Parts: sequence; C-alpha cells; structure tokens
Amino acid sequence: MITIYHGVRPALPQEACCQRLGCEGPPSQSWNWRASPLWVAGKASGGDTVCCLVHGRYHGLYRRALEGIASLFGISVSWVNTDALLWQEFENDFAGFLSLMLFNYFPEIPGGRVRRSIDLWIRLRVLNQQEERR
Amino acid sequence: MPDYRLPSYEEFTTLPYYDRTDPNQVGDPYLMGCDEHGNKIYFMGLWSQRQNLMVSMQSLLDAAGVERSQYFLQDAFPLINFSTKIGGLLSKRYRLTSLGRKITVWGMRRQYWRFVEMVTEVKNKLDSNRDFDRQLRIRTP
Repeated sequence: MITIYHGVRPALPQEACCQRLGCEGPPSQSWNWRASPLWVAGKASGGDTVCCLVHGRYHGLYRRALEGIASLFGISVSWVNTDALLWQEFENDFAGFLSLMLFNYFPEIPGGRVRRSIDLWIRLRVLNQQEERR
Repeated sequence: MPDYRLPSYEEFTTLPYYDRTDPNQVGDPYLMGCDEHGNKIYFMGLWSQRQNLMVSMQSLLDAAGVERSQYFLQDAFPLINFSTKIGGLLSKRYRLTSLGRKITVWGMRRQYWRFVEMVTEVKNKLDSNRDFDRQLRIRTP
C-alpha cells in the first residue's frame, strides 16, 4: 500500500510524512518539489510506502493521473489531504488559522511552540485519518 | 491510423474520444487498444503539468516496484501546432465545436508525418528493448 499525503504547498504534507516515519526534527529541505512534486519519503513501520505530493491548484488533475496509473498496474494508493483536514480543525480558531498559514508558507519561521502544536494536530487529525473519499 | 497516407477529416473525427473527453476528466488514462505486439496503448491529457506529472508517475511506479521496462511514457505535446491549440480552445472553452474541430484536424493533418515519425521511433525503441531482454534471457540460464 502506498500512502500519499498531499497539499497545495509542501510544508504540511512533508511534516505529515516525517511524523508518520518517526523522523527527528524538521524534515529535510533537500527535496526539490517544483521539479519533482511526488517525493517518496520512505517505508513506515507497517510496511506502507509513504509519499508526499505537492499539487498546487491542480489537485484534481494529479489525483486522476496518479490514480489512473496506479490502477493500470494494480497499485493500491491511499490519499490524505493534509490541507483539508487541518483547515477543518481551525474553522473557528483565527489564531490557529494564522499559525497554520504562517507555517504553510514560511515553514522555517514558526518557533518551537507553534511547531509543536502543528505536530500534535498532524498526529491527531492527519495520521489517524482514514482514506479520504473522492 | 494509417502510416502510409494522410487520413481524411472524417477519419480523425470518428476516432474514439476525439475532442469528446470532458475537461473535468483530464488526467484519466484512456485505453485506445493494443498494438501488434499486444502492448496496451493509452493516452492521457496532462495540461501544463505534463513534465511534473511524468516525473511523479515514474516516482510512483518506482516506489511500487514496477520496472521501467514495463511501460513507456511519450510526450506528444511538442508536436501540437498553433492551429490545433487554437482549434482546441475554440471547441472546449468557447463551445464552438464545429469550427474548433475543423481547425484542430487541419492542424493535425499538417503535422501528421511528424506524428508517424514519433510513433515509429517509439516502436523501434520498444523493439530494441524487447530484443535486449530476449538476449539477456538467453545469456542468463
């Protein structure tokens, strides 16, 4: 099974991947997401391959193309939309929403407290998320 | 489509899916059939993301353990000329289907032999890969 954490920008899906794989500290900055939007992060403890996808405003296109290719080869893929899950979390929390926006666009800026909060939200909402419906 | 003569307007417009795919389904692979060696032939529209998507598809297939010899991705967009792009725009975005199709087919007929050349190159590459695999199997008992 391949699990793809995807989003409009790289910060949230990348953070989700690292949480899933149990990485220590912030994720590696060496991934050139503009040239290669799909990043194979590694294998999780359960044997799933964990990937990170940055699709910008072409969510539907990437989803259809990659699912289509996966189905041709009989590959099982699970999709988790990190943006949608975390926006739902902060529907009524303006401060939380601002922190999330800051982290999404400038991941290197937030300090330890904001980053710990985001890590906790990712663990609670994203990693426990069942496969999203299309 | 024939590789020894230029097809007519009707032969283009009666192709399965020709100018009939829904823009909301761009990205889905469409099966066109099988070639003489039994290889399945698909086409996919990828808009402006074709290079990124081709890299992403390869990464996904590599992660799943699918060998690159099992598939071949060919970008046909460089052969699409200005007329075909304008015809497509008229047909899909502005719903001027009749006019748009005439212009796209006119553009495609002008480029047809370059498409034939591209397909021939792809077939030659696949043939040479097949020959290489066959020789490798013979050498490794």
